[in-house]
Amino acid sequence: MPVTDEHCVREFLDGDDSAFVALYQHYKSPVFDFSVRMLGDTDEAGDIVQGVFLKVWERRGQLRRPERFAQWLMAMTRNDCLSALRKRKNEADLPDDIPDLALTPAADQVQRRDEIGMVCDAVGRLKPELREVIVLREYHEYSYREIGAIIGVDEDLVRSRLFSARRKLHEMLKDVMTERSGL
Amino acid sequence: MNCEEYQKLAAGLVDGEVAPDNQEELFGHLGGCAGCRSFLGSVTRVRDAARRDTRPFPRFLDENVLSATVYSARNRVMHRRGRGFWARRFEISAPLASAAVIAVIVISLAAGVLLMRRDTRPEGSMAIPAVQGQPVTVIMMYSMPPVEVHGSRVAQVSGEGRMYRN
Repeated sequence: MPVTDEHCVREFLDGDDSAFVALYQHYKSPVFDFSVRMLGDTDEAGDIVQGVFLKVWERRGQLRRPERFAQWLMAMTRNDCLSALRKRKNEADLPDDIPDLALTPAADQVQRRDEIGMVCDAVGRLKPELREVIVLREYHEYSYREIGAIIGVDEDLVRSRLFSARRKLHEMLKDVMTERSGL
Repeated sequence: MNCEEYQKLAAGLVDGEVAPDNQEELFGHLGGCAGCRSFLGSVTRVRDAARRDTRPFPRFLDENVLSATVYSARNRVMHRRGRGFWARRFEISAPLASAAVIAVIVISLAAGVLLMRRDTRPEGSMAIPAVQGQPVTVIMMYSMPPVEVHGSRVAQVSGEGRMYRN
């Protein structure tokens, strides 16, 4: 019988430490990647990773449905990222319409000229509620239903926000994309 | 439908959520609308760039996370195992533990002395107190345990019964 995520989660809930290590190894990169794209800072993303997995370790009793472990984990990650963004904005005392990427340390504001870098930078300029759906959809390939479960909204709202995010990215990138494609 | 609606369909096409009937209508529109074609191109190129964009994971985080979770729990268990059997179970000071041990020894000795003074009647036997000068009649039943009357002698035997007289 192949070892599935759900099987591993059940083993972890039964007290198997090695199952926790296996889950950590499997999910550490998605958690880190999502955090970096939301926060634009690798150090803060590292803090998020440590905080989230410590919570998973301490709050295993709160997980009622092992088959929803991935969504539970990403929901915690998302909430911690949003808290970090709010804290950052409060400390900087800036108006709400200032893009979050403007608040990232200078070292992370290097403008990459390749298409991957331009898309990444453009995603970082979206509002958090649009950024998170684009990251979950395009970078992590979650379905509309899974994204809705992670961020706590229905599929229609996910679809609507995704469209808004894509429109904004199109506005930011269309001239460069057109130039590169020769259209 | 207007361009916004066609663009929503185009985004759905990239996500695999457009019915075949709508696809035909969408392609018909895209053929004649540069703006919607440009939008569809952006959506697909954003997806392509995202799928190629990978971030290396900082290895030092492994040690940090596992130290705070699994290793920390295991160290607590190992710390407990390194101590003596009783020390792991009872958090008491050495002088108090010594006093408790001495008390147990003294009580055990006292109990032993008391137990040595017990009578040695056969198991199941009954002791009937004998009053000086007065006969004691004991009627024996087959199922009764053996009877012993202290300080007396058998004076009369009848059937299974025996009369003792001091």
